[in-house]
This record gives sequence, C-alpha cells and structure tokens, in this order.
Amino acid sequence: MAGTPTPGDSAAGTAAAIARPPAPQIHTIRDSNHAQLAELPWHLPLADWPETLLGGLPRGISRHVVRYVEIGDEVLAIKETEDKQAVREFDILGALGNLDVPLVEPRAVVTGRTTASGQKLNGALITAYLEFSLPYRALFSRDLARDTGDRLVDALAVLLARLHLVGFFWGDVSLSNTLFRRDADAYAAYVVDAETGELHDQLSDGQRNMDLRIARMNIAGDFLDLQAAGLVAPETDPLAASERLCESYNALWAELTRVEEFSVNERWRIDERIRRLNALGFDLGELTVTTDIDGISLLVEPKIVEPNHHSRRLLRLTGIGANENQARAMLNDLDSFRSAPEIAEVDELDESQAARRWLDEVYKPLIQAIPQNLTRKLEPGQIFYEFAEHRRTMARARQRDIPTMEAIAYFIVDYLANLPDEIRYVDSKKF
Amino acid sequence: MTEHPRQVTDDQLLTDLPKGGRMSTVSLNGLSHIYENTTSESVHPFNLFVDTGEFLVLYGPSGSGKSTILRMLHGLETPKTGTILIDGVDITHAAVNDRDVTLALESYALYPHMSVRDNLGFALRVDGLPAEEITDRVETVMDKIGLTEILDSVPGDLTQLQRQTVALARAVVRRPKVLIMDEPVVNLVPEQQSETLALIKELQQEFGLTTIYATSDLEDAKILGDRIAFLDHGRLIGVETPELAEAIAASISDTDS
Repeated sequence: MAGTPTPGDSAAGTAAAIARPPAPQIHTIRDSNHAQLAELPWHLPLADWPETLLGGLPRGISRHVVRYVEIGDEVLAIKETEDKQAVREFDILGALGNLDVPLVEPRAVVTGRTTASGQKLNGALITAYLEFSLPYRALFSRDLARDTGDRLVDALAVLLARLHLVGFFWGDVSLSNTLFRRDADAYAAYVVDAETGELHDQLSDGQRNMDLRIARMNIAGDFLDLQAAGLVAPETDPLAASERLCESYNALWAELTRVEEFSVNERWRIDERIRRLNALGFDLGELTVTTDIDGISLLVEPKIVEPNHHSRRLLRLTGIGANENQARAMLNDLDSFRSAPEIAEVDELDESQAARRWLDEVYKPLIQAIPQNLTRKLEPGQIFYEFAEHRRTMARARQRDIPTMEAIAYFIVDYLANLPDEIRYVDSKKF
Repeated sequence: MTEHPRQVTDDQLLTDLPKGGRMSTVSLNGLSHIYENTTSESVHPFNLFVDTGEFLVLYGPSGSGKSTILRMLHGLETPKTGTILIDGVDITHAAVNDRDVTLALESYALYPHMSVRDNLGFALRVDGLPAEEITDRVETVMDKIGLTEILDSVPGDLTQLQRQTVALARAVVRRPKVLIMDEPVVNLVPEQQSETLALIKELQQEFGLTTIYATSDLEDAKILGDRIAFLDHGRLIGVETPELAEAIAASISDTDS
C-alpha cells in the first residue's frame, strides 16, 4: 500500500511515514481492485488529483466532484461525498443490484480520508463505468432523430416503474441522474445516482407521487437546459416531456398493478392480461384470483411482475444476453428464420432446434465477422438489431432478399464502420 | 426516565393556538406514525401548532422522529393517527401536489446552461405561471437579497455561496405555504454551514415564510428557530424558545446516555 513504511526506510523517511495520517478504509467488492485502489492519492481532494491518473478522461462540474480512473480492465467513476453518504449510497446500489434493477454497479467505498496534515476529507463512492451507456446530453448532441426525447422519457418511465415495483423511492428522478443504453429502436435506462433514494418493502402512493412530482420538475429543467445549450429546437415544449413521463409511467403502473374484475365466464381475460404484460416486457410471476361471495365475478390482481420477458426468453433459447427490445427484435428474427420456406418446408424444427440453427447461421456469423476495432462501436445486441434493419433497408432498395454473408459485408463497411465508438463515452458536461 | 424541565403537555401546546383564520399556519393534531413491519411507533401522538411566518425547528438526535414528521407533512409518510391542517384545511391525506409544502435545498445542483434567472423561474413555468408573474417573483426575491446583478449569469460563474443562495431562492420564489428543510447543511464543510444558516435565516425573515426545519445540532437550532420543538425517541418533549433551550436539550442527552 502506498505510504506504508518498509524496513529499508531511512530514519527521516520512517519519521515522515509515521507522521502520515492513517490510511483510509477501502471496502471493495472485487478483491482484485483493492491494491490498485489503495495506491490512489486518497490524501488529496479529488479535484486536485493529477491529470496523469485520469487517463485523459474528461473532468467536469457537479454538486460532487467526480473523476474517472482506469483500474485493471475497467473504468471506475469516483464520486467524492461525505463518509456516511458514500456508505449509504454504496449499500443502496448493492441492494438494488440484488433486486436486478438496472444501475451502475458499486465497486468500492472509501472512508476515513485525511490530508497529509491530518485534515479530514470526504469519503468516496466508486462505481463501474457502464460501458456503451450514454448520458442524455450526448444523445441529443449525436442523435438528431426527432423523437429522441420521447424515447428517453419512455425509458425513464419504465425504469421508474421498475424501481417502484421493488420499493425504491428515488427522490431525484431526472434525465441527468440516468444513463441510457441503446436498446433496438428504444433506450434502456440505468440509475446512476441513488444518493437521495430509499429502499422500502413497498412504496406508498405518496412516495410514488412525490417521485413523479420531482420527475416532472426535473425533466422540464433538463429539457430547458438542453434548449439553453442549443441542443434542442427552441420550439420544443419542455413541459411536454414532463407530461409524457407521467403519462407513460401511470399507464404502465396501472397495467402492472391494476386489480380487474371479470365475470367467471371471462377467464380468457386473464390470458389477455398476461399477454399485455408480456408485450410490455414483463412476466407475471404471481397472480391472485379471488372469486366473490356469489361466485359471479373474479378479482384478478398481479402480485409479482418481473421485467425482461423477452431477454429471459432469448437467454433461455440461445444463451445470448441482450436488452429487452434487442431481445424482442432477435426473437422476431428467429421466428422469421424458422418460418422461412427453406427451413419450414425441409425440417420441422421445434423452437429450441430453430434457435440453435439461427444462432449458428445468422447471429454468430455476424458477430464473428465484426473486426476487433469495430467492437467498440455498439453492444452485440445492438449490432444485431442495426444489422437486421440495414439488411431490410437493402432488400427494399434492391427488391430482393439479401443473403446473410452479403448483408454482413455491406453492413460492416457501409454502416458500422462509420459510427462513433460508444463503449466509453464520458460526458464532461454531466460530471 | 428523567423528569424533563418545563415539560409541555398537549393541553399547554394547544392553548397557544392563535384565534382567527390566519394564513399559512400549520396544525398537527394527535399526529403519530408507525413504520411498516415494526411494532413501536416512530412518532407518538403529539400536538403542535406553527404560526404564520414562524421558524420552527424540530430538534432531536437521529431516530427522534423529526424527519418522519417532515415526511408526513410532505406526503411521503401516512400518519397512523391524527390530522395535518394548513391554514385550517385538512391535508392529512392530500396528494403531494395538493399540499403546497416545499422541501428546500433538496439539491444544490443548478442547470449549467441556464441563467440564474431561468434556474429560478423554470419551476414556476412548470407550475403554469404567466411569464410576467415569473419575472416579477424572481426579480423581487433577488432584489430583496441584493443579488440582481447575477440574474443573467450562469451557475459556472457563481461562488459556492451564490450557488447555495440561488438553490434556496428557487424554493422561495414558489411562495409555498410551508417551507420544510431536513438537515440541509449537514454535508457542508463548516464555513459553508454557517454561511448557509445565515442565508436561510435572512431569506426566511425577509419573506416571512412559515418554515419547519429539522436538525440534530442544537447550536443551529438556537440560531435559526423562533421556537424549538424537542423530540426524543419519537416523543415531543416540549417546545421552547432558543434562550431556554439548553436545559431541555440536556434532558434529552441525559435520557439518551
């Protein structure tokens, strides 16, 4: 560990070492990171860390100082905050991770920091940089699609509903406190800042409504700030984004939790409800069905709903991990593959057999054909989605089916090579 | 349990109620709270009246119930018993948007590309106020605290204290009936703490906002409060002026030790 006296130290050196303040406490999740983390200059305020440590990654402004360092094979985000707060957020992120909530993963917490002269310094929360994630500002500066804002807000509404389902009151819902990964033609949202959050067994309506109230205000602020930065058109209505968030959230929450009353002769409506939940990307883990005292009607209430319906199905069939909408697109492609005449008329494949052939004949050839230097452009799941879209566009333009290998070649050269790297985008404006 | 000096009974607290329908009073009547999956009340039934424009401090150690009281006012927790009246209107079970209670200094974060004027005014825009009204409110607040010269600056050009001032003024321009603050300076370095406390006191006095402030620091409570409500293990022990605070605070320390 840096600063620990060794037997070879000179008397003066030993005296200096003895005079040093106690080393901070570093609690890490990965043991492999501990030694390298311990060597960082914790006796200096984060704002004063030398540029050489930051590996050329940008610095920026926030209510907390945040810096990035490369440790081993990953980039870590270090946020300086009061000891108690750092430990609290570290614990909350860990608990949320155990509940399978999409978030930045906590790696370590550092407490008991002091300067060389013994003056107390704030602690630090260390999280893993979420690869292929983009802050909302980056998406507005890069992606000029007209509905980018809508898609981000929709992703945030899904995230908020998922957080509320597990009993998490966020307390500072905003686009700024969220990171986004591309997810087919949508986005997947991840919690990046949980310092105001609280984890409960179950949220009250007051807590959920407070989160919505905060979201409404913050999202309008986020959009107004984008306008001030010239990243969205002046005629864009920032309040419309806030309203959309509330509407999307309320519609989703109602579908996930609403108690419905059916006649006992309408049991098919239970199946309809399950299908609607699946279409929204959720599985029904547990359903309570109560018959009323006269035996005339059924009260149906989802008790446990779980996200990632399509991701789980894709993983089960193919072993591929992908975001929900990417998985949905791949499953659609798999269905098309299975029903194509050259497959369907020759072999009657069951779903798992078809999945294995699709994996060998479509997915793997694409992923294996991507040159190493282009793997930093997009996640594999997104590469597949973009490839499928590109092939469709080509087929329409040429009015013929495009064989897989030909489509892959054109996709790599004409499309993928021209995209920016998104594996490690760090936005200095956010931090 | 030690006998508390000047212990205030519920009846005594209620006799202090002002007569007449004054604006922005807060009346907590028989209010109590219990957290799910617990058997003991986090806040035992109590009565408390906060007068128009009063700065009331809820003082007590961690776990004393002060934050839970603020959370009930804010709508984040549902009381087990009792009522919350603002200006005589029962808001105990009102939706969070219908309470007109604002939590100040939730965050010091300001939007980096927006001017101070816009940072102050955007919440009013979200609330649907006309542009002239927004301009008037923002300029009035900044004029009263002598900071009109920074209205067109962006946050990056401000000092730390100016940023905190703007963050606090953001709540004030909304003119809530009740302003609440939950240990807002606890994570600041000492010099920022004293600057922020002075700022809070100045703004509260200038605008006469009914304010309820939670802290576990007796010195802060004495600096800020017109009255201090002492809490211990979820019980309201008494309400006292800052001048007479030491004795009752000592009794809380005694029982905690």
